[in-house]
Amino acid sequence: MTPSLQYHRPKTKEELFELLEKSQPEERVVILAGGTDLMPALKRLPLTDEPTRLISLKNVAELRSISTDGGEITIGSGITLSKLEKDPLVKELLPCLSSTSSLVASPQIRTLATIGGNLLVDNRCVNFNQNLHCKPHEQFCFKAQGDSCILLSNTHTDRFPLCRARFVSDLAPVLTLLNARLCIQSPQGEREISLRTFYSEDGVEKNPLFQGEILVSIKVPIPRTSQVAYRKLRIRNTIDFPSLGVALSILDDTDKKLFMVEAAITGIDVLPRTFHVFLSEYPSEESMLENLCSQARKGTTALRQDFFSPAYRKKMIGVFICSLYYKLRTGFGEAQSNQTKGKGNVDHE
Amino acid sequence: MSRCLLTLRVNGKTYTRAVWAGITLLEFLRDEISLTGTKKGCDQGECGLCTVLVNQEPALSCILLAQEAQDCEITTIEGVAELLNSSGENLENDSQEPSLHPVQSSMVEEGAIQCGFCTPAMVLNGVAFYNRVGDGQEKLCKDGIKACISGTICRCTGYKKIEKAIHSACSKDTLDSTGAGVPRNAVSKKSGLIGRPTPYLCAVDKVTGKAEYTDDIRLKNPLFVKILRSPYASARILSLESKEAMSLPGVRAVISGSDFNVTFGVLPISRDEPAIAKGRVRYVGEPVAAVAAETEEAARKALELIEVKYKVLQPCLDIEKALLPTKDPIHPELKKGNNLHKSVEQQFGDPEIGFAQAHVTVEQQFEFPSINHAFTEPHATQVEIDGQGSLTVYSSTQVPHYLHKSLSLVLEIPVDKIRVIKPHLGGGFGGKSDPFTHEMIAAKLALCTRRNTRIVLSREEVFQTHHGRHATRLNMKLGADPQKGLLALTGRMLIDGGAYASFGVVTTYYNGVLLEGPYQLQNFGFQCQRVYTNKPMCGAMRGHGGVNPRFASEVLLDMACEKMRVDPCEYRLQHFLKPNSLTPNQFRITSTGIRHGLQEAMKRTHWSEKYAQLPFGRGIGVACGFFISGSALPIHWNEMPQSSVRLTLDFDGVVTIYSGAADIGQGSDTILAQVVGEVLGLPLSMIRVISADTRLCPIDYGSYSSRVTFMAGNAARNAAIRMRRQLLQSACEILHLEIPETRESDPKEKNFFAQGGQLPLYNQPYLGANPDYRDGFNFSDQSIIAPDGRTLSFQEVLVKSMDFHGALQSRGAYISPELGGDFKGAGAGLSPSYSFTAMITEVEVDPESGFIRVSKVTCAHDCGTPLNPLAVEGQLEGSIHMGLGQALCEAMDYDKSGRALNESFLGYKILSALEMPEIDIVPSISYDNEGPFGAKEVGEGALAPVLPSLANALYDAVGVRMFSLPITPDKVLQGIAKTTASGEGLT
Repeated sequence: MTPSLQYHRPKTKEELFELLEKSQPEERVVILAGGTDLMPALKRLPLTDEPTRLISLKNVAELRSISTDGGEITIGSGITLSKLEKDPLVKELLPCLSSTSSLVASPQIRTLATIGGNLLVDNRCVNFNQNLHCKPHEQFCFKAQGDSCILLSNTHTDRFPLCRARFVSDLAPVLTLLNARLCIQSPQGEREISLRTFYSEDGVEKNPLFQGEILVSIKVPIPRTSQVAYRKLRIRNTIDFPSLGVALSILDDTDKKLFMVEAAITGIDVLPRTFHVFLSEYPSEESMLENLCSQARKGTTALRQDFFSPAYRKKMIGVFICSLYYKLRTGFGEAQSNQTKGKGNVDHE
Repeated sequence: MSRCLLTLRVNGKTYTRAVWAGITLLEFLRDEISLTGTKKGCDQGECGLCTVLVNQEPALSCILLAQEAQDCEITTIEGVAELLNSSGENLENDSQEPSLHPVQSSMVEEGAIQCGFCTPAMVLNGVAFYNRVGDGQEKLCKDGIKACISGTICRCTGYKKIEKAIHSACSKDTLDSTGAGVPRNAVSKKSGLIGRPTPYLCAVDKVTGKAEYTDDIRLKNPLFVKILRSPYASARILSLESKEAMSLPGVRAVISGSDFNVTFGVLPISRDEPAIAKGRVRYVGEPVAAVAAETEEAARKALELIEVKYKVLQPCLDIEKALLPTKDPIHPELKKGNNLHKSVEQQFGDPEIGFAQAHVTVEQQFEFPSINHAFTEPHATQVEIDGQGSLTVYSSTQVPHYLHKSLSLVLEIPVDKIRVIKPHLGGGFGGKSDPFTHEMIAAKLALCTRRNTRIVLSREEVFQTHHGRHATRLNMKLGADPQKGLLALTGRMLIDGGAYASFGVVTTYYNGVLLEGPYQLQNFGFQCQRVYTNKPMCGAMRGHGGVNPRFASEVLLDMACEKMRVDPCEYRLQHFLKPNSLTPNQFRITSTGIRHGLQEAMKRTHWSEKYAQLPFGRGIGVACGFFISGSALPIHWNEMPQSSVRLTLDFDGVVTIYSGAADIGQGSDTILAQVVGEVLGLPLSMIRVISADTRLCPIDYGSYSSRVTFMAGNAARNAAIRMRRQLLQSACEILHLEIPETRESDPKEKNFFAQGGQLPLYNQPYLGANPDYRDGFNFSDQSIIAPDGRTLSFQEVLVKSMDFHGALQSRGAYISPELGGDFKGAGAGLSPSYSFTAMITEVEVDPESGFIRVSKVTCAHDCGTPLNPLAVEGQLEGSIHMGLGQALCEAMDYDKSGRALNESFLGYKILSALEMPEIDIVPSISYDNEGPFGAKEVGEGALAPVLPSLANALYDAVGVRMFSLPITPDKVLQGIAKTTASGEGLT
């Protein structure tokens, strides 16, 4: 990286915000957490686009705690994935989050990568995640600050005015179904956003974080009547991003006579998409599932951006939803008896 | 430019350096404090080779800013042993043996190290696991071990021996009832060196991070070389402006195509590649200019300042279209009017008659994408220039000799002004056997600037340089009879050569001629055409040219067997080539142990109870193959021996072996030492190997075509026998015995070991430590025993031998016997001996997702007598790993502009430890008269049958035939849907 780069490592949020406030608008300021997604991206930038200032979150202790008030768990955005996987509290209360963490990338990456980084991971596309040093500018796509989408160059750009790079976080669909909320802070103040509405339809401007805003923590209500499971599609059981990830939750509230199944899909479209069905609206479990699968397939766009063909990935949406559903259902009796203890989650793979 | 003071704790020591804020931990370790044991494989956080421990946890140092590691305890490979010391455990360190962590010593003993480039990372993964098991955080189990190394890729070992080593290290303290923890050497009862499981001579260096690879060498004040590469697959270079780049501070030279007058190529018949493109570019990534600068940063900046104007041309990317007439061929100098590079046609017998007589005929088109070697060490070259302008070129090359000659050709300086040295090398697989543009460029820039230069390619550049396996479209037809065997086989192959020739002419032949075994086949014909396209060039890759046609022929044979209603194993057993026979194209088959091998594999897998009887979703399949043990003809035509070895023996009692052969991780240095030690009765500690240095070592044609153990091994044995003769004379003088009559061996003597009326001893492995050298003496354990039982020490005989003579010297050589017919192209595929492989693969298929889980591969590879069983198993396990990768998920993916979309270890899928099946290796039991101590090829032959045996197992499992690679879950699922719809093929 450029020799003129400045590096800062604030110890508190106050110091951090002070630094952010001081930064000049023309500076290219980059916030560094685990760096496992960011560092490779920075190395691929042309010299002129390299950051001038890096602010590391590593020493901000407030970002590295996990706590619970009984009703919800608050996870600092700086918690590493290997910590998330092993943390006793997370394991007990959100077992699916813990097991999904272990499916992200590789052990050496999970040592560094953080939960916050996973939620903010950059969207990926074969036309962007490649050697830009040796690429003619006319072939630069939206994501590389070009003015077209290479993937959809044959179709009307009016129909697809936005980047379609795919969303690849494994944790986001799980946390979405767990109704997680993101606490975001900046020198100007604080706000909370539901993960369900956090992501956008644009692969470049993927989320509503402003320059200078920090994802501080993730608040997850402890599930009482629902279970979540996740299944990931990839050719190797390590290193790879999800070619498709399906999280499925079953909400079975006997008091309210409510039975809802919800799916969240990652790895395929530009953002995680959710779909749900109520059992009460269908004559049978099978027809309910069929409807959920078809909603999910129709509601997601898959492009040729990955090892697996778009058609295959869409087909697997249905296969994964059904396998997760029956997996959760067969484990249900046991899980229900544990509900009061909050051990509702079953995981897959 | 702002530097900051950075203090890091590494291996218990504190280092403070003034660095740029942006450097990674990997750069800090390698460049600032010279701990070069940590390797750079991709620099993108994808391969896991740069793993270090950060506060005891494995982490990737290439994507961790050095600044971020402040206040952490960092452990690198150099500090692993000390880590154990400081924790108070006792190290067994009573001898001069270097102190090693248990994980390190297990890796050495188990033979878990081949090229060694991933070894530091694997050790650190293993140490972290070892500690977790020790703390009770994790249980010792196979899955846990696989998981702990799953973030680091290895291209050599198939992970098997690494897993075993970590297991045995972790279970050493606890008594392990399975016996998995017992070190290999402890159970070996063999005396002597041949046939003994032998860790590589360099194993300790590699496991401690001391082994120096090209990029680890630190020359004095070098210039950094960077290459500007073409963004277009096909374009004319209209202009190239480098003034601005030249004026940048720190830039010492900028060169372009006009600085070179001569093109090059590994084959003298097709030298069509410029060091830097001149006038036009032919693939994305072709060099168009190069810079030498004082810093990497300046070199990179300079590249951005070079202005090249192109006229973009329509690239030719399709192999069929390449055959059509064009006004603007990729190589107009060939005056062909199209993009055909080489066409080969051969026919033996009359296939038409064969098909007419055949009971069944099957025909099919097959399609294969190009694949890459994906060795873990990126190409690297460093050039040292002396006051007289002589160059010493350190390069990651499989063939120092060809590089030497090519440098002389391209730089237009005499060969005596160039010395090529191959340091430790991190994997080749054929991908480092050509001379390369970056080698020419780095040497040229050293000459221009009179300064040392260095270059290491990025992983993307490695993929652009490519030289991988040719993409292939082929049509094959097989006619067979249940009793009479294979009556006819014909093929028409079209292979995609990419922009330049490389080994292409050889590949074109190999696509056909390597089909002539392992079955008896009377009528055979093929036509193979290699075309130029605007893609990175293809060349030699493990199993060179034989892999894709082998897939086709073995799948067709499976289909034919099904049609004939015969068991595919039983059918194969009846129709294998016999020992001491000739194929139709006059390959001389000396030994073959394939019959026994397949029978043994059938037994071990319970074939006859499984084949066609397993439930839907589970299957078993078979395939066979054969391969050359070195090409009988040299690429550079001459009458010199193909391998020469020189020995010296001086007062220290150590024999020094000088060999031009390149140890690329396959363990050839160790083999040569074993061979020499065996003949002279010396332990490995009394043998030193100096290899792959063109100034010190006699010429050897290098490490490709599975030739080194066979040819250099024979040369070494030859040299050792001559030295033995010298010692024997002195021994006789001391003992007042008459010197026994033995004939001097002649390097041109053909069947050297079969002389004296001995017929081939098929199925009789080399057993003893004390073979008959026809001199009646016994050399063993550093002593020399006369026929009458009197014993002399080696040292005393040595002293006697040196009296009045000084140090002893001898030389040995090997040249292949004259072989083959006298038709055009008869030389292709000729080898003094052939290896054979039978392979049975078992799979489980998930019919919902189409995923194939390979559960077990049983491999019977006839490599003659294994000289080093550890190395043999390692080669086979590695071949299986690479074969499974090509079968399941490896493919270069080019878009419509000719740009590769997956030039990374994320995009190019190499299997991890987690996908690897159980591997069962059937010990080889044949003996080849031509090979050293009965040995034959093992490095490549076992790869080809992996792919079709998997495809045949898939058919057995779900009734789906696969005619294109890779066999993705997607295709499997489509196949299942098709067969279910048509109601066919289900068993």
